[in-house]
Amino acid sequence: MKIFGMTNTRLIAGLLSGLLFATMAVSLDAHAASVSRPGRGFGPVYDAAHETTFEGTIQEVVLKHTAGSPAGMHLMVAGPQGLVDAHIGPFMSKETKEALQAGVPVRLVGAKTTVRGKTFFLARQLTVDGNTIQVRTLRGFLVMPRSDHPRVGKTGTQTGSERPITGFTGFTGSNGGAR
Amino acid sequence: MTLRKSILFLTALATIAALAGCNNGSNPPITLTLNTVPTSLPVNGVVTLVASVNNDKANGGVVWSCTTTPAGSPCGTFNPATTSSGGSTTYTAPAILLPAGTTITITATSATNSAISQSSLPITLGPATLANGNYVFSVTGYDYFPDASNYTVSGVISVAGGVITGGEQDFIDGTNQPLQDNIGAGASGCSATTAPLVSCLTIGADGNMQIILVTGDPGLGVNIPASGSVPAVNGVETFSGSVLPLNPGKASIAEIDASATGSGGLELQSATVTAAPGPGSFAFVLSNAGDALAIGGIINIDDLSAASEGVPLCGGTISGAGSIWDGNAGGDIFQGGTFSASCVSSPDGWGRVTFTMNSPNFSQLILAAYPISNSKIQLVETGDSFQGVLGGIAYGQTVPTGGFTAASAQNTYVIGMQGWDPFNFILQSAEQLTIAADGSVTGFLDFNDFSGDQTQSPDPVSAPAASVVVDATGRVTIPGVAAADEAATYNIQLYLDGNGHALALTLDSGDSQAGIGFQQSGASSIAASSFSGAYGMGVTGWDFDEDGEFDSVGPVVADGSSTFAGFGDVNWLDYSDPGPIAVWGNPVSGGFGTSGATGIFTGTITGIDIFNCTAFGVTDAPGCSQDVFNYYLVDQYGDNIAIETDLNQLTFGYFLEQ
Repeated sequence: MKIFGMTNTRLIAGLLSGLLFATMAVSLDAHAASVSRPGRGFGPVYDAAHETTFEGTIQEVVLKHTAGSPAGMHLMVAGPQGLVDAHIGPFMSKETKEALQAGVPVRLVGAKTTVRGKTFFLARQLTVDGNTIQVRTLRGFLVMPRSDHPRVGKTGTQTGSERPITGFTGFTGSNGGAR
Repeated sequence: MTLRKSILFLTALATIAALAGCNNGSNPPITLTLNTVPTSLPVNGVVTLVASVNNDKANGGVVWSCTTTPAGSPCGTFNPATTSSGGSTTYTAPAILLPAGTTITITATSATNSAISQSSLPITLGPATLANGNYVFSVTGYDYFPDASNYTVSGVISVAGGVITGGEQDFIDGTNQPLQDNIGAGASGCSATTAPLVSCLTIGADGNMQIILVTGDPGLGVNIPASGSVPAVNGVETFSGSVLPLNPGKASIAEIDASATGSGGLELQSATVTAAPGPGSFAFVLSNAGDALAIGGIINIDDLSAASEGVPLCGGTISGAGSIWDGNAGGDIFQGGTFSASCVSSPDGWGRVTFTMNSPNFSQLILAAYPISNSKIQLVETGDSFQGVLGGIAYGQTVPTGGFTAASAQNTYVIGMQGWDPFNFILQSAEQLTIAADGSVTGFLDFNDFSGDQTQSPDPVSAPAASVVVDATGRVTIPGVAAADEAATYNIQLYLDGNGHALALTLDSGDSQAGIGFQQSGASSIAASSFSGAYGMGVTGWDFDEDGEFDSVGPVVADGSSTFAGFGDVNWLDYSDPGPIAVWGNPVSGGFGTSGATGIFTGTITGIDIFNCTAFGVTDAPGCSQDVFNYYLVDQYGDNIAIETDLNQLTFGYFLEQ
């Protein structure tokens, strides 16, 4: 398993910490990074320190990409804060795509980002029909599926399991003091 | 007339003729000599021509021109089109094959007297292909068979008399076990329609090389079922290649088949790679965009005594001393990691070695390595417990006495990287960074993730004094490079080889990128005219909807002023609409002009816009559009990294002469 910088015990502890206190852990991590690692990266950020969770109803499933927005599937979700443009990316399975219809209730965990005055909700977790799908990692990177069949585009099918990008979620705090 | 009168008359005539001759002796006729011109050239071939003019008091020099027989075909370009007597011009042959039987004639004409000229013998234009030798290839991209994920394939083929005689390769993608395969031998006269198909090196109708590799492995490539008495052929990979104009041993290549699309290169393998690499140190970078994973660092091969083929745990060859690595795993950063005892094996018959890398910080990483030379090695991860999907490159270092210092890094670097960010997943960037003596950084950046977050292009970037830290190993740490428009603030790590390369990766929580950087050369001579002559174009990107990756390779010719033209073979794997598309010889054109930043030129490319060009089959495509690019020049010869800066699609690539 490609784990940097930790023993199994530390890995388990890290994973448990990550599971139990995901939001706090990422927040602390981001804070630590800002001290000695000033770079936050390219383009719009995934602000894990300000993740929110909300429930709402799908008003529209948007497949067509528009300039200035992230490519892939968007859900226009009506919730307590009004209509939210939630980006769930291009890697949804066939089953998930079929479940995502107008009028269907969903639960989303993620963070907002604003680009040129337009706000997107970058979903990290999507719950629909009782199934929870990991859309992004804690750092906000989209989770690419590992499938046995071709990923297909807008109208096709997709099979296979979705998995985290890497096994590095327990990495925080064991990086040799780099951050 | 008496005999005496006749003699006097003839004497008078002779005297007049002699006087006339004396007069001509003071003003001898202009003559012109054209040095030898080859009678055959490859497409996009480049040759230096010289002509001398004698007895031209006006010193008008030489005007260069060309024609084809029969007329009507492109005959090539000259740079410059006029020269002084004895001066040289660079002639670039047409980028496309001419109709059968067509020849080119080059003519040098006196600028003072157009009646004085000399023409070459007829020149036959032939395809560019590969001379005898072993060639290392490496391609990274996105495959759809047997799964949908990023992949890297690297290997070596042997070419003799234009025939592929064998080879081997390593392939890895997202879910497969790594695959190591032999490459089957080809046959003279083979083609893409040979049944059963064999490995084959041919020239396509457009003049690009077509390389078909038959591995026999049903786990990769295209599997052709049995038909009648023709047996099935498995594991077929098809590549298109464009030989670089100034380096016939090197080509830009792209995989163009229904199983995968990817971009990379092919390069003549040095005969010296029969020995194991090292001792010595290597700068390396490995990445897999699909996992947002990048690792870079220095591997120091201490001692070759323990090297042995096929022993994955051989120890002592790489002690760990002088070796170091950094990693970015989906925004999780590790900096300054160490290697424990690791090793490199002896080469097999193709020069392939394995690096078995151990670290206290990760599971064992085993890399198959195909050396191009003792100082350049293509890397691809193979079966190991690390279980990544990594591909990359290593450059042998020329370490200054006493190690690298801050002064070693004080140069301008042109860097291209690809990876992921949370906004869009595909992220491409190109930048020019100058490291000053006070440890500050200035430069320019363009990146594209469809956000349009940059408000300036090229976008000035900087880092304050004392930002840059240079290890003795050649590892350069630059935190906090900030874009003027605040679209990016990033930490970049460079690994110098001391020979003009700076491998790079980012160490940010908000992106993961890696790529190759080049120390810029001839900066004072870089101008729009630098982008002139023939180039091999190789680009990779994703369409507007990110339905699939596309790759394109082909020759282009730049006029040294503001335009270029050529063609590209294009592969786009979109399984929804309209399905896999391979288009051969699609016309490509472009423009370039000053950008306000030294060494960066703003321009366009027309002919690779997937959703707009009708050639790619998208319903209601309006026709090719002019996509906006910035060209980051690496040297005064115009080699450059190109990046699309509009939001039509994501495109990144190289224009290379050599």
